[in-house]
Amino acid sequence: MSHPEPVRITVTCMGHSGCYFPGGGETQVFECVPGETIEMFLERLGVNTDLFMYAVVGGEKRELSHVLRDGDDVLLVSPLMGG
Amino acid sequence: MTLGGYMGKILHVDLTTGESLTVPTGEDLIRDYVGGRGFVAKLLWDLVPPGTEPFSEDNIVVIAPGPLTGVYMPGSGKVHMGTKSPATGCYGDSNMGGHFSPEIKYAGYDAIVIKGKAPEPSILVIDEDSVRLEGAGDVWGAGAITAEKRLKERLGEDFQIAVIGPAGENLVKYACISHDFGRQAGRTGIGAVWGWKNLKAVCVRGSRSIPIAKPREAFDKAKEMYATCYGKPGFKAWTPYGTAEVVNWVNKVGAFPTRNFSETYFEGHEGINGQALVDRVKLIDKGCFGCPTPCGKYSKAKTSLGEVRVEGPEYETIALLGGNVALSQIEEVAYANAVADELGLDTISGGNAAGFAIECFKKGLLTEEQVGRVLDWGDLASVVYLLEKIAKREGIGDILADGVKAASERIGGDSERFAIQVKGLEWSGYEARWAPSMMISYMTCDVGAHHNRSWAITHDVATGRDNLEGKSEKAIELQHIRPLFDALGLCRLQWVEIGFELENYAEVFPLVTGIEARWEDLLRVSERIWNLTRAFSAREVDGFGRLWDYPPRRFMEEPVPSGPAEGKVLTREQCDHLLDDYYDRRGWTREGIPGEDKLEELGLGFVIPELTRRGYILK
Ligand code: SF4
Repeated sequence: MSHPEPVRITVTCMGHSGCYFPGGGETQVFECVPGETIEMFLERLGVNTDLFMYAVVGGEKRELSHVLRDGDDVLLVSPLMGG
Repeated sequence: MTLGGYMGKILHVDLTTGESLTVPTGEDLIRDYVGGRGFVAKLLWDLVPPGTEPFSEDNIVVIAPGPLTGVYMPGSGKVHMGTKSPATGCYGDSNMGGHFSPEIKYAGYDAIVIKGKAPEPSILVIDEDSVRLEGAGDVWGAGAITAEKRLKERLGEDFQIAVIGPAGENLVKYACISHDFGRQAGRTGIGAVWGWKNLKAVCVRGSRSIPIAKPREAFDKAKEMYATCYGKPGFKAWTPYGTAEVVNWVNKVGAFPTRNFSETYFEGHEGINGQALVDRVKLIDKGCFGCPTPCGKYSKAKTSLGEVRVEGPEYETIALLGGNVALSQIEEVAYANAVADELGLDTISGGNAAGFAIECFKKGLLTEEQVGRVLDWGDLASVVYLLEKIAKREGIGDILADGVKAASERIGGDSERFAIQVKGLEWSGYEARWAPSMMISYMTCDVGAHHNRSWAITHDVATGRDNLEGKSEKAIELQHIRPLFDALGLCRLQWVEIGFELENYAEVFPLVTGIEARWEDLLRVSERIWNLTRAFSAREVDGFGRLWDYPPRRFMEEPVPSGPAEGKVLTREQCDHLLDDYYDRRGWTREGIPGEDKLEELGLGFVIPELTRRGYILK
């Protein structure tokens, strides 16, 4: 039986949300479960998914339902505004 | 001595006599209040005689850039305006972007103070040292956008113009100041004070240079600040959408104003979110002076009522003229936005008033005969009808023009329960029954229910929305950081939206001004200003204090009926807990009045005799 290929991603948090992310908001490398979405990944880390509005993956805007792929460069965007 | 960043003088204009004079910008004023909002607060305290009516010759309007306004650096185009508010009777202010503020500096002024009342509808023309009143002529009665265009034609493109619309002329208590064809100082009814003073517009032109203490270093630092902004990972993600980006998220967390805040999740949000804005109505991005992250979206929209071009809609307008009146198409929100802008109405209070009226109608508290038509949720014609009636003070509009609090007192029934305001100022775009830090932020905001002093909802989400601990503390922290931008004359969106670091501002301030102040020193100034605005409201309003800090009864008594926040409510007891914690941390009495020790500590001992005379401080 072959094992699924590991999925390695880089994750950066935008702005203040880094305070609530394990290891802070700076770019970090993570290994994910194949088929895992961004939302599932955050839940597995114990991060409140409501902190993020969406993600930018490889420069493209993506919902948190995006299925992570090996090599994805993920920017997590939190709502920081308020006029 | 002229410090860097300051022009060295303040212009005083008496509209009654048409005379003007300048006074040096005092070093102690600079040291203790910095500029912008700080100057507004101190000049209001000093120059408005206690007990002055908002609509009177003695009430003043202060227009103040900050020391960093007009200087080469990100977001340096902001101006702060203040007055004794006709909406609340308390301290009132509002902030505006565009290009008006730098022009005031180029004309040679750190602030403009306007008092009196012009004998006839007028415009104030400030052309460096030449200061004159001119008859308003055909711009009186004109819409705000139209009037600005006509005044540019009359005076020249190089004038920067701030103007009111018919709502201001008709003393609507949430009339705004408009500039740059779609930027507004929207809140607290400053436009109505201009209208009462027969002041249609302030038109400014200047060509002076702003002195800089360390020009080379300041320039290099500013260049680095721009590069940092452009390099932020959030820059490309946020800028195309602007503030509308947050609609989906606010809805998802159950905080989106819906049908006069009776609900907090709007089923039609996908038709009015950032994506809808970009895909369906946006033409181009539009920004203020020196802005690297233009949040303005210039749009074109076609509806059953016609086609409009408008700057917007931004988040607040989408929330209050979208979800709050159940409009679910971005084109319709843009249309209502354009109507409000031309009338010179604050879209936040205007959207509240429309939502409130529709709910009253649905509950039978207003009849078709009283209103002049049927009102319904999700009906653009109802919303436009109400906005126009309000601006003209016709029929039901005359009642709504005084704000939802006053309107509820006239309409009666249980309408006071769902008049969504604090201190008489309508609530902006974040429902807070499941966001205690956001709730205490709204309750204690110095101008009434406005979000921009402390936007703490992410703190609620991150630290638990059902517990109250630490929530007031966060609100206080933000109430010092965020308004500091209004004192410096800067936009805070580069910080809050794309995570631009606060240290940058701390570094650049001494380079521009020559004042060796650390960030903590500036935060201390911000705390001083916060306490002074509170003291001003206590001086001006009988019985001011705790009772003025409660949210509407809907938020304390009606659990959210459905959606992500279903069942959530912050009871009066919980609000009391938040208030006690807030007052204690601030060094205020449990009645919400700054304590003597705190006032002395902040160098505000001069307000103590007045607060004592008014019975707030017992000797
Ligand atoms: S982010 Fe928006 S409000 Fe701030 S300076 Fe830029 S355009 Fe103006």
